[in-house]
Amino acid sequence: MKKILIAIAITALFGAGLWLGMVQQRGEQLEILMQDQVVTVLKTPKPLSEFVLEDQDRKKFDLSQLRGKWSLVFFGYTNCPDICPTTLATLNQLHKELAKNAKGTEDVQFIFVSVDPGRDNSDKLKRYVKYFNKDFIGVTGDKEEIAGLAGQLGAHYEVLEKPGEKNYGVNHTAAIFIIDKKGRYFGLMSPPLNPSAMASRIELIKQL
Amino acid sequence: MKVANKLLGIIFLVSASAVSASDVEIEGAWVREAPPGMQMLAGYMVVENKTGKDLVMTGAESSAFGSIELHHTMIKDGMASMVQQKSVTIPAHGKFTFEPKGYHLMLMKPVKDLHQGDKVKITLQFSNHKNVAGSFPVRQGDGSMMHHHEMNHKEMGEHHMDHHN
Repeated sequence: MKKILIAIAITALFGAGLWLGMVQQRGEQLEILMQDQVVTVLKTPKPLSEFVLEDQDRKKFDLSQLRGKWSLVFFGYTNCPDICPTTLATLNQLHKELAKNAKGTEDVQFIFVSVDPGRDNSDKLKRYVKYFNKDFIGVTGDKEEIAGLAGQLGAHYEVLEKPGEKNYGVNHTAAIFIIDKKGRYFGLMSPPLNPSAMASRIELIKQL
Repeated sequence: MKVANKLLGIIFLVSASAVSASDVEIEGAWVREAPPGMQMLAGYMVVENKTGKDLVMTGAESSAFGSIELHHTMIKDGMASMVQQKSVTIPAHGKFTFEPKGYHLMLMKPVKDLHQGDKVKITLQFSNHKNVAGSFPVRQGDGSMMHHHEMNHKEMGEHHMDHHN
């Protein structure tokens, strides 16, 4: 009953934006429960399988770290001057919005995944993510390890590396992925990212 | 009388220089403070072209950075990418906006870490107009408050972001 009420509340909130569709990713289609301009929620959360990355303190970061909290995951790279710092500053605002609520941010974690292991390492990631918020987590790994998580979420990226050239760009998914407390791919939030709108959606979906 | 003439002369000179300096204006300029040691920053502004002809901006330079490029962040099919621009055109009697997740000055290899409160001079280059220099204050944040020019630094610090050293 509670779930139905929440579903009705979400439907009312999402209003005209509600529609049933699919998220397409690498030949796999995931059915959408609901979608508006802020958040897309999958009809059936997709359990993630094991992956191994390393966090900013060089500690193993694997699937067990995604359990017990809601996780908001953003893929990027530290040499990114515009969209990555803009998004991380927005996520810091979101963190503040969530902190205003009763439960605060204790059951939500923010994870920045660098897809540029050629230039980013744990030390650099630490300086980078902690600048935006002391609670943010920065992880990376080698190409296969990054693909181990990104592939499961359908996060795309393309490192435009040139031989002998340190100054190259990286194209990457702009969305923020939502992983639930059971370590399942739950949904995503797409730009434009508005901190207070995102906070209200997260508070709602946390109750689903 | 002599004094009055001199004063008039000064007023004339001041106003004349003000007119010639303001046919291209840089408004709301800022550079985003970056985490320590980062080699890649971004600068934002609105360039106003008060002349009657389209102006072609071809680049920028600053003694505070190793090099500067013009870039455009685009999100297509959910993917963010940056595309270098050889030039951007500021329309006659129009404006061109550089803003987060859009057009930006890509500021590479800062000569030192920049912090909120610092100011850097950046000179914009045009193919059909003389250079225009602007003062860019360094600020934290996501740019969502960029139009609040009256907001003081203390408020910016409190509302925008905590600074962790």
